[in-house]
Amino acid sequence: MSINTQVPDSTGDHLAIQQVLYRYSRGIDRCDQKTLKSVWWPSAKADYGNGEVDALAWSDEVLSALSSMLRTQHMLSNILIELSGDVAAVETYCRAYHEIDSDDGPLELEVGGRYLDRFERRNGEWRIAHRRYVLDWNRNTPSTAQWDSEFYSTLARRGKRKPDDPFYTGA
Amino acid sequence: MTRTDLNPSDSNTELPTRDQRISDLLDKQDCAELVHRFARAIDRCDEDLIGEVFHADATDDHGSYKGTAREFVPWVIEVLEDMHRTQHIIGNILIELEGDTAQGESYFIAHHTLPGENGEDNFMIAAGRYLDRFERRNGTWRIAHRGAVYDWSSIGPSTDIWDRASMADYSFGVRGKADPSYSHFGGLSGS
Repeated sequence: MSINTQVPDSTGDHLAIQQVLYRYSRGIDRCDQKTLKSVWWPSAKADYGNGEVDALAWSDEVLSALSSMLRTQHMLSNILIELSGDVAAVETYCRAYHEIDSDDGPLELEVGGRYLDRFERRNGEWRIAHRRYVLDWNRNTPSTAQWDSEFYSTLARRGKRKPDDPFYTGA
Repeated sequence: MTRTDLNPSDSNTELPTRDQRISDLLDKQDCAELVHRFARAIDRCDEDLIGEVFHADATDDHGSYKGTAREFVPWVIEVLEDMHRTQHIIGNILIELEGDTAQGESYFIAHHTLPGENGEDNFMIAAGRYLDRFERRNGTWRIAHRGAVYDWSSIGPSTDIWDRASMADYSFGVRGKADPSYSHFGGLSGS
């Protein structure tokens, strides 16, 4: 049985696009500037709600905001891809968890949203050329994290930012 | 034992050929996309998109609903319309292929904002799994039967802090064709 060669290519495109999206989350959650910037094409534009800005410049600014938070996790799912040659329209669900300090103790801020991305393939590589962020829901409560409790204290390998996270240290 | 049996026994099986593995990958990609398209259809409250993921004679068992997929569509739209918004996050997707049929188990965590009894909104999470039977007919995979299994849930007062009316520059998710995803997609929008 031989397979139409064009069809497996689409699977390769899906996987490549998915990996770029996952790199975005790593860049954001580990405050890893190099990884975060690797998802954008030069001159890529992003609109997170404050208007369309240069995505590479935005990346520098967002990391200084994120690094002041206690921790974040950007969980991606439901990646729908519409391929059209060297361009792909992609919708990705994102459930973003942030824990921040406040005068009243740590807070949990959660945001459910979607990235509407235009990916472009240049010289065989997929990256984001344009991103529009859509807000769906949010949840804001005092943090209930219990890192020192009997149960959680045994789970000692904690997520950190670059270069201290176990991903980089191998610890 | 099928090639992709998720309850493996100790029977001897030959390793699949590369072409077979690619073919399996494509079938699984098609089935997974149906699960994601279903979530999009529900979250956008879009009857046409829900209808597109099912075969014409498909059935659905949501516990509170058991019947044809054709009648499931207006039922679920009515349920959704009592809520302000939903987001169905899909996690673990396991698919077991057997020829033109596939069994799927897909984890979901569904987020709902809905009116509470005292006039304030509630935020409710329902988590579980979709147990789907996919069938390929005339070369196209669609859902022939969906069963929803519920695993855990959580509900509390909504803590939403967005004043949507005054945040004009932001894009907010909405039901129907006004959602920004419709202009973003071409063929996937169902238009």
